[in-house]
Amino acid sequence: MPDLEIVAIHFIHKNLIEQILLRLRNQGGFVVGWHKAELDVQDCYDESREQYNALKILQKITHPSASAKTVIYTSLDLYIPIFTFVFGLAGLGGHAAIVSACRLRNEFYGLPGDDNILMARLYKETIHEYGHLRNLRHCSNYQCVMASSSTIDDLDVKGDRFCTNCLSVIAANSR
Amino acid sequence: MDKNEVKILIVDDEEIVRESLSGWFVEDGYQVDTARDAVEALNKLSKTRWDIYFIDIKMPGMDGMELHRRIREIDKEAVVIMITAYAAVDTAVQALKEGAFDYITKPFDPDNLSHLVRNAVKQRRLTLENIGLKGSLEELTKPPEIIGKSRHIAEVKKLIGTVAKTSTTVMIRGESGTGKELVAQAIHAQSERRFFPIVTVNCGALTETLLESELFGHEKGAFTGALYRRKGKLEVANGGTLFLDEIGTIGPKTQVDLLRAIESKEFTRLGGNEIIESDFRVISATNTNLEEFVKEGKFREDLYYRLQVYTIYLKPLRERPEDIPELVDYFIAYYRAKMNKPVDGIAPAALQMIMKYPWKGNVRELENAIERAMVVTQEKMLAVHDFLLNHVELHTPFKTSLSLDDVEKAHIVSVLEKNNWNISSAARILGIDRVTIYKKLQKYGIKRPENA
Repeated sequence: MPDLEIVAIHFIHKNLIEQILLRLRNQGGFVVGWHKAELDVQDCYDESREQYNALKILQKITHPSASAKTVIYTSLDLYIPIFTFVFGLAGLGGHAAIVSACRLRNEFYGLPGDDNILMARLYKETIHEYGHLRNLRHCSNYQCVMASSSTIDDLDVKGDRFCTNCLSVIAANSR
Repeated sequence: MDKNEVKILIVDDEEIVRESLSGWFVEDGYQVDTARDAVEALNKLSKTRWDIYFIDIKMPGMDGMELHRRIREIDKEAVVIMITAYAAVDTAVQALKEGAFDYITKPFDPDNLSHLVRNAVKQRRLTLENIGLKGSLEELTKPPEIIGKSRHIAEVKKLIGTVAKTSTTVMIRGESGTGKELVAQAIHAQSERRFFPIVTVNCGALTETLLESELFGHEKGAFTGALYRRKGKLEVANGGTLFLDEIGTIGPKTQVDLLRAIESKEFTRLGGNEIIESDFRVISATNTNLEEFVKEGKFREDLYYRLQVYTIYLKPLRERPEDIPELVDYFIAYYRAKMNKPVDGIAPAALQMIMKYPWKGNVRELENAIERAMVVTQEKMLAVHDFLLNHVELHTPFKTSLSLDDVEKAHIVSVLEKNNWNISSAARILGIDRVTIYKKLQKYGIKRPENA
């Protein structure tokens, strides 16, 4: 039984899937499963914003088991009503999170595309949202993957691992 | 103030805004609560003091602008951030003019919101630090306590309160030890000048040349030994108060210079040409008869009138003995803490003796007497024998009309009081044995007071 299930919904970067699963297994130590899913998200689309409501998409997700955490990968540009955009979204201690590759791409910022950079960002976002699902809040240690990042620069600056404090919180929550 | 100590209240009628924003702040480690309207927000404000408020401008019922005003009435240091749609930016700007910290338009850019909250927390932290520091400063500049319940002391306190708010020149008159400097400090501490120094110059302790240098300062080389330029007390007192003690002792030349400096608030340092400006208030004190000095030509009349604008006269302690018990309690408490000695108070006989004493040195002498008694006492209550007042015998004269028995009785009582009613000690001093002293007590009906 995997402890992390990756679900691809409207995710166009299929070439990255194998690599990121490998990294989640090797570096993150996860037992990872993955599958592709079809989901009708038309009712989550906001025409004026030309974005998809991340909260509504998450509400549509069914959870395979109480113990596994699900992270949805999508290429759709996501928002929540109060924010202009989100890189990803997870409820504290919830079962499912969503990560968008849309604004993780260099092309979004007018730069040449780079799959390695995109994968590094996607990996960090995955671990970050997984941390929220494990009840972790934002961390003041800028090197920790749980540091808050509201810009792509913040995301690039922070590390891709939990700091010792966050690890101990996860351990305490697991007991 | 750590992040997890910061309390944020989000007031918005839209549930999605409340939920999303609070979720975001919770993830960031803040303490968050929400209110759906102004009434709920004010109820929550009455129970908890919030550090940062996010308030939607447009809400049904009381709008965000009115809520902001209400919050500022209750907590004028609160950090309020208005939430607005693009259309309501004018209103948000109005809120800024009314003291809101900032505004943010919906939907928020996550980065802008992060910066805004960081700045808001910084602002709140500085405000709280400032309040704390002001509190410490107020504590440091707290007016000194003037002890006494007499009508005279009440009147003095009233005079201090009246004159403190002005910049009027004050003269404090009274015998040595009546607390003239304390009154000067109280005037300064209650005035607008309290955050600036009160500079004391004891005019009687300095020769005329030294006093001039002390008051006006001097330039390097102004006189033999003036190796460096030095600021005078008038300059140091800029913004504050200059307290001139024993003003009656200053010489004729200094009187002229001082009068000019007081009137123009300008002077030059000794040996210098630069005109120094200083805004100081003058409080002077004297225990001499200045009027006599004026008549004799020892003190300039114009300076006398300049200093004597508002006079506070302090009565000697012997004219207000009703203040003595409170002063005694105050000094005992003070020295108990200072010496860490468990003395609870004073025996009635000792207090009675103190009340009768003329206290020529006034409160200063009383304080010294209590300090000395606190040092020597071995008991919990200060007794007659703890005091070294050489007048006591003088004040218990035996009148020629008294019989031998009367004299004997009075003497036995006196010795017993002085020995805190210790029979053995009294018997030893009187040169009789304990049986005899008991017989005498019975004969004269002498009884140990219950509280002795």
